[in-house]
Amino acid sequence: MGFYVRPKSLGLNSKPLEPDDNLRTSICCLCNGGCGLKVSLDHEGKVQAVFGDLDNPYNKGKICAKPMEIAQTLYGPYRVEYPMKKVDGKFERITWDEALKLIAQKYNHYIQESGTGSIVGITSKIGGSYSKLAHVIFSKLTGMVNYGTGPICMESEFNVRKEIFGNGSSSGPLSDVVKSKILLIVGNNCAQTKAGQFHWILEAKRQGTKIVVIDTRFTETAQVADRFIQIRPGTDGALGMALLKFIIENDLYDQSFVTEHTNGFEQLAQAVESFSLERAADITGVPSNVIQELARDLASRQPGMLFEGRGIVCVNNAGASIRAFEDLMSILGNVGKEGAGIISHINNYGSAKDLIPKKDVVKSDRKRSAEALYQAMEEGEIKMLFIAGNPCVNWPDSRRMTKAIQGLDFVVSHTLFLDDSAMQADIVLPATHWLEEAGVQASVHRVLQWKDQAAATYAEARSGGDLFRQLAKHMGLETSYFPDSPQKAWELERTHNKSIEGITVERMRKTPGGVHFPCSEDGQEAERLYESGVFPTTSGKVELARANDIAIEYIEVFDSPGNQGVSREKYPYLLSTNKVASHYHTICQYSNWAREMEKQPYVEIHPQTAAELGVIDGEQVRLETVTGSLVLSARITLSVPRGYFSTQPYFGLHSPYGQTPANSLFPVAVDPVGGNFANKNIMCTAKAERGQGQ
Amino acid sequence: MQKIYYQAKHCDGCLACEVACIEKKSLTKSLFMAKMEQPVPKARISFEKFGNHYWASICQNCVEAMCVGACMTGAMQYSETGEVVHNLEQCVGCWMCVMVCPFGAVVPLEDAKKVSKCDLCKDEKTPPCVVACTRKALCYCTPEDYENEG
Repeated sequence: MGFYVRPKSLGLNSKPLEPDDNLRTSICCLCNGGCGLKVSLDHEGKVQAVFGDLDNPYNKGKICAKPMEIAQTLYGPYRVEYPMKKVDGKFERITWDEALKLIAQKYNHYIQESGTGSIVGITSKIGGSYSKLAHVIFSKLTGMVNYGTGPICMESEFNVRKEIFGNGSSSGPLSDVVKSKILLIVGNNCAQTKAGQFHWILEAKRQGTKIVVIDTRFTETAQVADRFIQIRPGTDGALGMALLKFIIENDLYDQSFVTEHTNGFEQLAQAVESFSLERAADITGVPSNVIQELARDLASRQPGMLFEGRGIVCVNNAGASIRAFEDLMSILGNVGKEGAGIISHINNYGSAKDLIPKKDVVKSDRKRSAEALYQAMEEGEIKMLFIAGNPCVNWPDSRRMTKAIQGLDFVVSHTLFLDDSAMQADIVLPATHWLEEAGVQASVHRVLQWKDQAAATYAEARSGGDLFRQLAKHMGLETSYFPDSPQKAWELERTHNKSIEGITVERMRKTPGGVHFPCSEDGQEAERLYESGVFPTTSGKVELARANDIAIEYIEVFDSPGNQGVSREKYPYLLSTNKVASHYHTICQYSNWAREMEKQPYVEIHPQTAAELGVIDGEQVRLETVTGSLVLSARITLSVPRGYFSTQPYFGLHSPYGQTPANSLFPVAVDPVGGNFANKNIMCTAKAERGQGQ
Repeated sequence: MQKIYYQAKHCDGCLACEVACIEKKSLTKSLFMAKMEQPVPKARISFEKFGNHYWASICQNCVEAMCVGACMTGAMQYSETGEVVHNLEQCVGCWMCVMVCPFGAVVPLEDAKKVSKCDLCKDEKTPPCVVACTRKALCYCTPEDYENEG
């Protein structure tokens, strides 16, 4: 019994780590936090443990559970080892060459028969910078239309911010919070979702930054905040508009910034005119003196920063809320200054231009919104689908998505795990993990960091970078446009994109923590955007109002897409999915450690709601929305408001959890302004489920 | 500094220490009432069976503690006398300490979404779990005493 024992986590038969004096440095590519990692390998080059990198100036050795779980997920039973073809409902091993030949043949066939629009990609997990670039080139050569992480994660945030500032990226680094006087965290539980970087916020708090958290749930982040404002679900927009009205009416805004650098102030003032403190208090449930105090705090504490989360982005009235809070930061002049700005995990450094000559660019003959994709698949307009991700779990109305994918002629899944989506594929291809691939990773501090390949490539896995080049070759396309290594890919990208021109691989390797972007050819990096006061909008100014001259249109949550027309008598409650620290997307569900932390999905219920339903803690509850129902175990807690249910979105049927995806309960509804799918605030009903679940 | 030491060879897995711990950590300080409390109090010591042997998971108050290194909020700290102490108020429930503890000794409190661990019951002369252990598998002593007495 003398060895390294961790009965719960490591398991009874677990062995101690092999000695490894040469820890590999890497960067975590999960949540765009960009935490530095140290990776310990065994003698076969397999990951045996992942630690935080003490030398990384941003995470300073802190990480969360998610990257640690990789040591288990990568070599578990669900990992795909070799290419497979589905024959009579069963997967059979084939070679890469056979697989590529078959895909190429089908691809060319569908382009000829049904046009380029008959082939789409759902590619939220395409791989690192090398794979992303190869995928871009491939899409340009073939006209493939792709749906990335955008619609399920940040489309609304990106689009609204782009309308306002001309750029959808975060405008300041998270590390600036220590210089700000107030940090407004809206619908963001960053203590759980950006755990490795959360120490910045606590450090800021120690140094006197006032941390204000606005959330529906009393989250872990809220617990350490200076001020927690609990708001009714989906009413953030009304709070933001009331703050705007109060600040405008009392002349608390930065008048010189507004006159010199913004357009549409009049329209904004007009749009928020009716949002008095009293009306907002009525809608949001936040007392009017609290709103007033917050407005005064925001005005007197300068500079201030804003950190929005999925709580106001992945909702069906996201457009109004995001715009209200970002316009608020703008009129307070909290833009382009040290300690001011908007923190986000969106790191858009622009796309490479003119990678291939115009003559070889193929444009897709059809374009569809993410919402329209479902119908196009169901009606047979789409023949072939390329999946790199897990849409059967993380896209809304997952059952419908699964059915739609089943009905397609030909489905390819390039994947790490044999997950719910891969199970529907005709060809499954093994993908490399980001630890098995070199590349560039962005961070919440607006830096780009280089990581070398840390772990040995597993079995027959290939990266997206290799896959698309080889597929292009089999399809008879010009392959000289494709880079053949991650280093060459970055060189190509860098020389075709002005905003990252000065960021060479050597420079990133040499600079601990990475290089800020944009960074011009002369090597001058910009830590934060808009310091010059020029904005990349057409007018060069901040656009406080939308193009239609209406600044913000508040839509009540019950009148928003997905809830519109649904009976409030039948579906009186609201349902959301929310994140926990030990899971990420659908990949951590394959880890025993994650299962130790989160034994099963549960639904958080307020005690009074539980009493109405007649359930006690741990009992089964059936949740039902317009798209279906699902049984979950109840966890009774005061951290959620009455009439509100919260569960976790990570689990699928083809995983150790064996759960119907929670996203099955969410209708295919998008925020009308930004275009994000909603995975929060959807009307539901619930009842106690006696007897067997599922 | 005194710590709780565990000697597997004396342990017969009676779990009296676990019961004593639950009682001590309950609000009512009563074993019978503890079961009715919501949330049910959790012991800071737990057991796993290996063949005929038992193995206890309890905080060893490491000199270089992984949990202190992993804690992003500073909730897990060394006390002035060298014990590893946990401040519940600073804890945000990222559960990294649970992940990194080689002894599996940090206990997640699911309902509060925080953690806890053995605090050596400083308000007692001897921790109740040690008192409860009739076979002397648990002992509360300084490292020197433990070395000398084996």
